[in-house]
Amino acid sequence: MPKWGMAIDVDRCNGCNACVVACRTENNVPTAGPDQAKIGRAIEWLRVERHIEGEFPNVRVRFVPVMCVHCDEAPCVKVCPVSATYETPDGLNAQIHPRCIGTRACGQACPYTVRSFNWSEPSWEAPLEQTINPDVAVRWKGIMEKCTFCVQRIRRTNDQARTEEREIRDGEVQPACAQACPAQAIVFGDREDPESTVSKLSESPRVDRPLEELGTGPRVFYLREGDWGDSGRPGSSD
Amino acid sequence: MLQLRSTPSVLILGAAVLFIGVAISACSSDAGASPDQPIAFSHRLHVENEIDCSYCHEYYDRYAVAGIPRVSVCVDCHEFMEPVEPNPDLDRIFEFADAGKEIPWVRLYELPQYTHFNHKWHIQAEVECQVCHGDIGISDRATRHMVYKMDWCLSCHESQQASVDCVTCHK
Repeated sequence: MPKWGMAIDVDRCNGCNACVVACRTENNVPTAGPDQAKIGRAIEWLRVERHIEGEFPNVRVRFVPVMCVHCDEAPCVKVCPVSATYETPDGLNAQIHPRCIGTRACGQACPYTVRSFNWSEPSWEAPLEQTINPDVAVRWKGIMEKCTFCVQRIRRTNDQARTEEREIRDGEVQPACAQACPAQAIVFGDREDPESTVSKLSESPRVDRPLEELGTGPRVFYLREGDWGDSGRPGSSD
Repeated sequence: MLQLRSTPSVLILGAAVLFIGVAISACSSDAGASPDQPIAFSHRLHVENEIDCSYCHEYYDRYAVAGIPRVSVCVDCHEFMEPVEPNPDLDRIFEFADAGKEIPWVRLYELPQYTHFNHKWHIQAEVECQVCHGDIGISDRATRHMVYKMDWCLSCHESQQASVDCVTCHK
């Protein structure tokens, strides 16, 4: 069974936000509207953070896509009182929506701040309701949600491979963000397969595992030239 | 005196609670429901005529959904059959076909939107149709066999050593 992981090359990312749009469309992530967003109630499975490095006139901006990193030792899993979030055998931190009772403890525990709470019933202005993906549940008021690594796509590819009686090929599973990225900055694959692109990238000297010092064991890692400054860590954008 | 006067109101309250309870349970558990269909279709007749389930439910072993037959599937056979006696239901098939409309069959089974089910894998695991759909093949009126609950699914998955990982069925 594969153990899924993701590599994000921030040297390639140009901040176009195509991944964000793709993620929202694929996963039925509702828009909160400006008023709700202003008070921190926007739902985001994936955001592109903007990090400004250097001092004028030598300034550059880095863009860092941030989503659930599907920790090996996930704090959210440990604090959920009803086990609505748990680790699957193939290494995802799954969120089971009907089980969630909305304590928001997981949101508090998550050091990556990538979990969102549904403060209201989701709605889509016509005709956007026609874009709802039937492979993904529409979440409801009072529960938490987050990136699933597009588990529905993993399941579909798994079904296809099982039908054809073969293993899943490297690069066959593509989450929506990876598929949409024009710079091919996001790579998804089996991190236990030494031949997979993700495994090979994980040996790069450019690897940085976000907030690794907390012992979370993130399964999403970044590739970035040079050292991370304090300004360059996910969650510390301007 | 006070006790006598309060007795009827207690009875009325009790009856009201009972009525509401029955009404709620009738709404929330509708196994055995048999909604009126646009055409009085008998599964029994078709099974007795040795028509395999897959003739009409053509995707049952290939896709997630088994498929509800198009009106053309009905016409394919019935246009070559002379009814023994006049049957308005048979006439209605051709009315739909001539009007270029599909028969608006009423679904018996619908799972919650946060779950998904795949017929294909259950057929491959040699689960008989009757396990979930009951004796629909020998009945003249399509009736909901049961309302599927998670523990029922899980008991079978556990005994058959199928996956019990939550995301196998939850989406």
